[in-house]
Amino acid sequence: MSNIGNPSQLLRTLILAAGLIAIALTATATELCYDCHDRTLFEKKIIHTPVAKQRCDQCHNPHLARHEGLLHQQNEKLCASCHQTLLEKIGQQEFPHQPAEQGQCLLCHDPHASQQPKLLRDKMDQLCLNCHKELEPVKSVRHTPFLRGQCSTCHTAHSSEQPMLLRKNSAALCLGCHPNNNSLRQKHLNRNLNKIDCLECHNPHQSENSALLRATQHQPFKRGECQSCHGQKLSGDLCMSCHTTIMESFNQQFNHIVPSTNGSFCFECHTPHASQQVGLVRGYPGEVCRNCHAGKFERRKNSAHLHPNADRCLDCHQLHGATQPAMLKGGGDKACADCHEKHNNFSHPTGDKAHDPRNGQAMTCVSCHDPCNGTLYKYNLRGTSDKGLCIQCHAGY
Amino acid sequence: MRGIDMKIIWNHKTIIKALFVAVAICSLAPLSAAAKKSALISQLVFPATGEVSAPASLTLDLERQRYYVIDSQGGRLLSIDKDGNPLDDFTALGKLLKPTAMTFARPGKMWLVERADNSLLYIDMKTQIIRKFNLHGTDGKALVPDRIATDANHRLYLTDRRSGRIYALDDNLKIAVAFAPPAGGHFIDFKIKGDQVWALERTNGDIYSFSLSGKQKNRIQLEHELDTPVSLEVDAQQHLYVLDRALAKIYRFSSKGKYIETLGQKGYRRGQLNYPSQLLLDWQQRLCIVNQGNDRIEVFSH
Repeated sequence: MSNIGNPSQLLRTLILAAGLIAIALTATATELCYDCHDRTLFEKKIIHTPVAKQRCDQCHNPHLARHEGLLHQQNEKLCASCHQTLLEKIGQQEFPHQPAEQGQCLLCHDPHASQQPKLLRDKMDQLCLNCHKELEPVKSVRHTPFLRGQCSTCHTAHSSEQPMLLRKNSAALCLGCHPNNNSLRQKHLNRNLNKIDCLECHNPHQSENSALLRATQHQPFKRGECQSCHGQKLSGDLCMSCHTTIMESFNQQFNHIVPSTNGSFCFECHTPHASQQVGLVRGYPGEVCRNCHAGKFERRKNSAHLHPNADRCLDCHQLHGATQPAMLKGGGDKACADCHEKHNNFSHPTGDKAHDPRNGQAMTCVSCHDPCNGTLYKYNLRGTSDKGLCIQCHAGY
Repeated sequence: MRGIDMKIIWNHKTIIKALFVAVAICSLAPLSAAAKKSALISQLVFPATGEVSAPASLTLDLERQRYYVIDSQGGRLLSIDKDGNPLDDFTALGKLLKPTAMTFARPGKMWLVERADNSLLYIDMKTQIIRKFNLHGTDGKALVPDRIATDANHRLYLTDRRSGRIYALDDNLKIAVAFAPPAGGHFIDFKIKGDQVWALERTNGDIYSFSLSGKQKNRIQLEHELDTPVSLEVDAQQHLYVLDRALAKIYRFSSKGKYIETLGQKGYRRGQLNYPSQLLLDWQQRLCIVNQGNDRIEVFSH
């Protein structure tokens, strides 16, 4: 009796009792959840830690919540309560995976339990192909990791300092499996393999060509006539010796003649060997453009509405030269009409039929739309579609 | 005594408050300076609407107070008086194909860049006789002249698009002096002011000053991030102006590169900039901008 009467002892007993009751209630609460929610959905090979600890309340409020699924927070905000470091890293690295950047963690991960490692919703290759449909394995020659569905052998899932979410630069990555030996060097004219961009010529997934060579190949390279170029002095004149009329396309008021670090300004945009793009344009779509126009790619991130495939710059822009600023194909409207043919016929009058009172120019699609930079308004409009845009020219609208 | 004590306490509070206010004002002052954005006031617009599509460049005749607009697509030069009125146009009897830049040589003579074959034309205005020159560098590679200017001794300077260098040419059009950018960089514009050449480097947006003999005097790192610097100007007080094409803005800096203010707004209306390409100061120290995307030249005071 005297012990119970001790105030500090009493306090300890009360705290212990409260703790036990809380644990008992939580356990009971989780068991209660399973009364309605199918227990088997939560009992797979890999179980998310809060589920395994029967702490449904860590993510859900059992009574009411502001977010769907009775969640405490939405999307990445909820995940960040435990995975803060990972989310910070995604924000800091140069190349984030789009769903990760947008906080759509649940696009790839199951928040409760999965048969796949890392709580992935499906087998890795199937999961990746849900979005990257262009990588459907259809070609005859396939890279072993791709064949086995081991995307993460080369790519990180969330973010990277390398383009295409690669784990390392291409030479370091490839030489990790393909030893830098005499045989390999001989196939590459004894070049320093550590300084070669393997992905310039090889498709890392699949190809119809042996050695996974990319589809578009420079004719001398395809014929194995390496010395037709490598036996000569490297300069723009080397390219012009075969492409005799190409310089005419550069000799325009606006052009892409740029100082070269590679001996020929052609090589700033084109590869002399093999490419995944037509015209032997280097890298993935938009990659070479980003080298000089990085600011545009950064500004796009702040746009609510951006043209689909905006990184495919060459769909709309001339690569060599043009008579108008921005080097749009056909001066503007043609670039749009290639895809938006019907819209071009029934929309606001353009061309000689309507002049922009702001600068006297013939109206074009880009008078009202800014598909390249993107805008805060639907359809990449330069102002609100109900009024704000129109009154710039139609004062009484 | 109590009343006096209270007064002392009150004074302390006042002093502390005053200190807070002073600190706040001091901390805000640089912020407001950093965010300073002056307006450009459009004084003149030319040529007339629809006259020129995407003017290529502008040249000034400071003595006669005239503007010369290069109409590349029309294959001609337009002379404009100090009030923005058209005076004449010049096609060299239809021999100009795609002119992109001009500068005066000796009186009555001009140099002109012909983009159709990247040649340099020497034109006698009176006789309209044209001499064409294809220039080559010391390595034998053809030069691609872009911006051109002459100094007080009529010596011709040009930027070469291929090498990213500025060259001063002798009377035989051989390279006399090369003004080299840092490795991996290229000079996109330059101005000759007295015995100095000021050059704008595209990659880092730094400004370099050289003596006319090619000796680098200064490298000025600008205290402001630029996106696509395309043109520079230097006023009588050695303030530096840099035109950013992608952002359609002009940034003004001190001679040491300290940021002073931002000028200009993107858009289509008069006073607004769309794909601006070149910056010049006229005889009244007004900013002349080749407002390429809006098909006009605009002269601004600020």
